[in-house]
Amino acid sequence: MTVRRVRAGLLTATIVALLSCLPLMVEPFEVERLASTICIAIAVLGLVVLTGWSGQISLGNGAFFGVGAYTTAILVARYGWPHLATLAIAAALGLALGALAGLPALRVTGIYLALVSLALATVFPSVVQHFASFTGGTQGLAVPAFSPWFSGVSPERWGYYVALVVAAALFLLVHDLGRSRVGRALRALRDSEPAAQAMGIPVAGYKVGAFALSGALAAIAGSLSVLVQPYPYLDPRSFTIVLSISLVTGLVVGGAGSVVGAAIAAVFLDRVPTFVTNVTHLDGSATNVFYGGLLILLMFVMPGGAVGLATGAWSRIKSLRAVPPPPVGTEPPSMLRQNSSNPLPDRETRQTERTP
Amino acid sequence: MTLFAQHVLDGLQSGCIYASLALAIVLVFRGTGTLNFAQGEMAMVSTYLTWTLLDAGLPLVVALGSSIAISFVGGALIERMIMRPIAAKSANHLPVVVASIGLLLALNSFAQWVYGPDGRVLPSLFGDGTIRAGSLSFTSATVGALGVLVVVAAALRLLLNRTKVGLAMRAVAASQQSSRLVGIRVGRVLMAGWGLAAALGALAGALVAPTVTAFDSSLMQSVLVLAFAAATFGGFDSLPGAVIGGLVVGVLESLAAGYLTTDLKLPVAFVVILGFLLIRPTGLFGTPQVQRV
Repeated sequence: MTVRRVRAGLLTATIVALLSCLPLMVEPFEVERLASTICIAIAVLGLVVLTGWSGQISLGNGAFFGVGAYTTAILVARYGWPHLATLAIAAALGLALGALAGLPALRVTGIYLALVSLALATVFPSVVQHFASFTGGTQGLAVPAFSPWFSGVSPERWGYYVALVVAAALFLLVHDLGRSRVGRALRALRDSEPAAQAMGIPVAGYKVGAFALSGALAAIAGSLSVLVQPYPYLDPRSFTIVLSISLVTGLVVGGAGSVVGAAIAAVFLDRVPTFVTNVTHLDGSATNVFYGGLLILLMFVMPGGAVGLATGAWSRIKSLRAVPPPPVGTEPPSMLRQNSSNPLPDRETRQTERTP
Repeated sequence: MTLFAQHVLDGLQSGCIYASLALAIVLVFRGTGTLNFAQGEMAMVSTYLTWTLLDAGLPLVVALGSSIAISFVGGALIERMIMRPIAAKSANHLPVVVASIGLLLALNSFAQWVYGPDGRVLPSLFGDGTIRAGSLSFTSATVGALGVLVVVAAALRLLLNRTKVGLAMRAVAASQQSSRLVGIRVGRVLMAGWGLAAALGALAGALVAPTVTAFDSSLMQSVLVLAFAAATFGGFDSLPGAVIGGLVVGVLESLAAGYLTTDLKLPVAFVVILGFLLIRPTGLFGTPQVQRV
C-alpha cells in the first residue's frame, strides 16, 4: 500500500514536472489552449466518477461547467471578488446543484435519468439568456483577467500553472477515492444495485454523492476555464448540449472508469478535431464528416476506449509470459458489464410484455 | 378561453412533428436498447433527399415516397454496417451511443458540405390554406399533420399487432435471446426497426421543413431534444406513449410561449416533464424495470 502510494506520488510529481515545462516551449496562445485542455480533463474526470464508476449517464455536465464559469465571471465582474476565492464558491455551488440534480436518480433510473440530465443541459443556456441583466445574456460577459501574483510570469502561463496545480490535486484525490471503499461501493452499485444494497451499501447516499462530486468537478473546471483566459469572455452558447455530449464522447474514447482516460479524453477532444481539419484541408463545416467517421471507427477498434485498448493489450502480453495478474490502475472492460440498474439497460433485462 | 384553445391548436402541429420523431426513437430503443442521437440528423438528410427529388422534377408525393423508401434502406444499412458490429464488440451501450454521436456529426457536416449554407424551401404536403371554425383558425398543415400522425400510428399498430413481422419485432423487444431460440432472425428484425425509424424520420422532416421559411442542416436539432422529451414523457418503450408525449410536449411548449415568454418555453416544458417523471419514473406507459437479483 505504501509502496504503491509512493509510486503514485512520484509518478504524479514527474508528470506535473514535465507538464510544467510545456508552456516554456510554446507560443502564448498555445499555453492558453493547453490550460483549457486541463479544464476539460477535470470536467471529464467528473464523468469518470459518475458514469464510469457509478454507471449513471449524465448528458448535463456541460451545464455544471457553465454554472462554474458563470459563478466566477459574475462574482469577479460584478462584485469584484478575487479570482481564486470564486473557485471555492463554484465548487460548493457545483456540489449543491449536482446533489440536487442527483435527487431524481433515487426515483428515476436508466434512460429516463439520462433524459433528466439532458433537460439540464438544454435549460441552462435559456436561463442564462433570460436573466440577461445579470449574466450578460447573448451579449456575453467580459471579465477582468486573472493577473499573476508575481511579476515576470505572463498571464497565460500563470493561468496554466494554477490550472495544473488544481488538476493534479483533483486527479490524485479522485484516483485515491477510486481505490477506497467509496470507489468500490460505487462500482458495486453499478454492477448490481440490489446486490450492493444487500451488502449494506447505502445506495441512495452514494448515488446522490456521485452526482454531487461530478457536479463539483465540472463546476471547478468551468471556473478554471475563466481563470486561464487572458481576456476572459463568456457566451451562453459555449455551454449548450454540445459541450455535455462532447464530454461524454471524450469519456468513452478515453476509457470510461479510468482517471488516466480523462486526461486522454481532454487531449483527444482538443486536438483531434483541429488535426482532422489540418489533414483534410477542408473548411470547418465539412471537417466533421471525418471527425464523426473517426469516432465511429474508434468505437469499432476500441469500444473500451484508449485505456481499455491498452489494458487489453497489456494483459495479453502478460498472459503470453506467465500467470496473468489483474491489470493495475485501470479497469478491465468486463468490469463495465451493465445490468438492469444501469443507465441504458441491457436488452435481456428489460423483460416485459409490451402492447404497442 | 378562445386564446387558450388557439394555443393548444398551434401546439398540436409541432406536437405531431415531435411525435413522429419520438416514434422513430422509441422504435430503435425497443429493438436495441440504445438511444440513437443521430435520429434527427438522419431525418434531416432524408429531408434534403426529398428536396433533391422534388427539385429534379418529381411531384412532391412521389419525391416523399421515394425518400421514405430510400431512408428505410439507409436506416437498415446503418444498423447492419455500423451499430450491430459495435454493439457485438462492446460490453455496454456507451460505444454505440458514441457511434451515434459520430454519425450525428458526420451527417450534419455532410449536408453542409453537399448543400452549402443556403436554405432550401420545401412546400407543405397540404397547401397553406387556413380553416376557420368560429373564432378559432387553424392551418391546413395542422390538420394534415394530425391526419398523418393518426394514419402512421394506426399503421404501426396494425403492423405490430396483426402481422408476423410485427410479432417478431415485439418478441425481439421483449428478449433477443428467447427470440433467437424460437427461430426469429433477430438481425433482420433489428434492421427493419432501424429502417422503419429512418422512414418515420423522413416523414417527420417533410412535416417540419415547411414550418420554417427555408430549412438548412440545423433543421432537426431542437426537434430532436423535444422528441427525446416526448419519448421520455410517454414511456421510452411505448409507441402510444410517444404519440401522446409528442402532442403534450408541443402543447406545453406553445402554452409556455403564449402565456410566459418565448425564451422560457423550453425550460417550462422540461420542468413539467421532470415533475411528471418524479411521480411516474417510467413515463406515462413505460414498462417498469424489473430487477433480478
